Amino acid sequence: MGRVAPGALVVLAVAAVAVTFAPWLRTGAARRTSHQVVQAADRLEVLEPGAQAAVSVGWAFLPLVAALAVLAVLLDRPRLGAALAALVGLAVISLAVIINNAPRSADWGAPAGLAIGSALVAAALATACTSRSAP
Amino acid sequence: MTDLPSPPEPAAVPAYVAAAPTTRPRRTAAAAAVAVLAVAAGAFGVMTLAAGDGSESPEAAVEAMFAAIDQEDVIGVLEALDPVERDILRPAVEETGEQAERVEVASNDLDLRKVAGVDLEVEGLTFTTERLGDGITAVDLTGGTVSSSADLDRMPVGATVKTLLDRDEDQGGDGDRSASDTIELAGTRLVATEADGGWHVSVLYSIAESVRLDGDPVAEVPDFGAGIAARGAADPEAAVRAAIDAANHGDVRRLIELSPPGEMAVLHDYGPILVNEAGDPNEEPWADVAALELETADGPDGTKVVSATSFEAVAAEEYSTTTWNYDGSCTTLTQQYDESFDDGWTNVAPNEGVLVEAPDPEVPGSETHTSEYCDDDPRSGVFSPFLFWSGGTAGQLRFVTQEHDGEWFVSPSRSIIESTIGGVRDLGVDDVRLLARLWAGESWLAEPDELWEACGVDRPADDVTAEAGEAALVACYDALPEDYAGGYGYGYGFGFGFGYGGSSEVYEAEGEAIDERSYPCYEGDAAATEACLADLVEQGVIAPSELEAYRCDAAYNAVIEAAGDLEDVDEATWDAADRAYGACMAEVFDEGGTDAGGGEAAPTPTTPVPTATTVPPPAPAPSTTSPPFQEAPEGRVPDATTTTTLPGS
Repeated sequence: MGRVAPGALVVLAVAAVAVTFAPWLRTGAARRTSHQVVQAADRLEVLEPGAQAAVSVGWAFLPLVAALAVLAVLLDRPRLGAALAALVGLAVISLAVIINNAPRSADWGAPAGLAIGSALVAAALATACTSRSAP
Repeated sequence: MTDLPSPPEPAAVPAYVAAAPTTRPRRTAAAAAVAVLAVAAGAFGVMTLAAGDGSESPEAAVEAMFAAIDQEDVIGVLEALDPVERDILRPAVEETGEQAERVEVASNDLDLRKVAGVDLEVEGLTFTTERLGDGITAVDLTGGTVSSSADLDRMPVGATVKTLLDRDEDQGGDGDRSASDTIELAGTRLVATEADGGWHVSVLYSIAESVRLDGDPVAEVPDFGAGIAARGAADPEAAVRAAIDAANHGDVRRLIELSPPGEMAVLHDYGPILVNEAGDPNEEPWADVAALELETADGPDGTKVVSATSFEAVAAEEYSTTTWNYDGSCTTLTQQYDESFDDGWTNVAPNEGVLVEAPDPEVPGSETHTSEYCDDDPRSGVFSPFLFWSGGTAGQLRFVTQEHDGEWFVSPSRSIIESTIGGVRDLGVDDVRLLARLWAGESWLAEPDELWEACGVDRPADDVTAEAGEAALVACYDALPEDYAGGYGYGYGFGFGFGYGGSSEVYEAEGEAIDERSYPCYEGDAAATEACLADLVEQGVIAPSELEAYRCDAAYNAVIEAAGDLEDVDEATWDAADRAYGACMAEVFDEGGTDAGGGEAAPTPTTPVPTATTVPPPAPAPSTTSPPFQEAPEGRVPDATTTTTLPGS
């Protein structure tokens, strides 16, 4: 268990980043990745300015945060890695939930993101727990 | 034995020690690789945030928009548009969708990101570009088509539309619920604008360019950024009052000054051309506006929405005086016609609705007609922003104002959207169903109770067939006392009759401009119609003016028909037809060819006369007996003298 959780976390963090580049939203015949969705939301000013800036910055640096999470695990900082991975997982879950609320437009990336994000949060929790209980 | 040292614990130390040399370097290598990836991920984040909004070139912007159209990608189309314009459009598009679902015009399946049943295809797009100014480039489409097809059975239409379609089918409609069309793009000029390094398509600049190019002579390309300077007012209400006053005087320059400098930069840029086209402002106002009371409410994004709570406006024209009195809930429209109407020349008969250039000695001289239109009446709600002068209510007019550098401006685009959507917000499902039937031609639904009471015909139940309703209305008009001075319905005012579109409804709206006893004449061909009318004139059944007007209209139609297919008739031909008609009418009246009545100078089509917007709503003649009319293609608006006189076959 002690090595399984961090290993799963690493794999799921990579998968979470990968899935953000899958098609998340279908508009007409066009398909958009999560990054394009966030970019379009920014251009169309869908959210309040403050919230939009946070979402745009957060999503742009999501791969970086995921990479840092993996790096932390590899450098024997499992709790830090778990915290960062949980952040990534929750962000992915949030956007996936929003897009899945419009089921006619949601592409396969959104439900996949929901599943992977949830698994990543679970792995992060497991990693945090196992690293705390380790001697 | 007890002193013997215990054997060492079989700790994992040897194994741990043994493993270390291989794991650490592997982990270190992996960490280094991930660190490199992290740097790359950081760079991705920076690049993503730095990515500009828009395309790299004007051509790319136009291509992006058509690519989005081709994919029926609403978001893509909005992204391709000028940021300022999409800020205006996006909320309007969203609320339109919401309102359409609420009033059951669209079903809950409506998804603006992909409207089912609609297919668009863009092919063969080619273009050239012309730089108009810094950051403003015209993209002239030299080829390409947009093919569209729509299938109502697949579209997310709501119960309101379904009911209307079923009703139409039950009453003999062809039941065809699909349509397709192909639009040639060649000859279209779009304008792309640059903002923050990205290019977008600008709808407003494209329209402005179209207006400029349609001018005769064509005006020079404006000096962008050096047009009419913005000059706002101290507060939202002052801005609205100033705009109303400017509109009342036809002061286009002041109206442009009062438009927001950023959002309506196009108006400021093209302002000098528009001012030149409009001419000098009038010294005298078109209408005397009194007791104008306004109220201000907060709008989105810091805007203020100003609307009227009361006013009185009086417009005196050559033959009539029109008074609008709005008390905060209802608009009372009073129209007084002076005796000159009965001079045997020009006659705006109250129950005919539009100008009738024919003498009618039976119409009393001075008359007053009063109608009332209330904000809570669905029949006057939805179109009132644009038709309140002809019988809608002013309550739905909402002016959206914006502040810039301490001055307040009136946003024309936001005001139009707010006034339109605002009217829909107040409607219920039943109201919209009623309106839908009105638009579909069931004008009898809009007739007020007082009219039915005056004519003694029972008002039909709302669910009777269109045919039965129309028949009842015809019977009612036949029985209506000549001295009836009450209100009339305004179904034909809804974009059909007053639209000057040359449709058969316009013809019907002209009503008794054609004596009903001559209706059978119009069932034959042109020669037979003329002969028949001549016979009736000879017999004294109809006024000679009807025959003369028919001949003039035939002259108009002859020019159009000589040009070939109606679809291909160009502007010059329409203008030539107008001139032919005008010359004919002038000749007829100048020569006193028609029964000249009092012998006063007869008005010609160019004589200033009351327009359709200043007279009561029309009383339609039975459509089954209406003669055909040359329909102008969409977008072409024949002048009032043509459309308000007797059409020929």
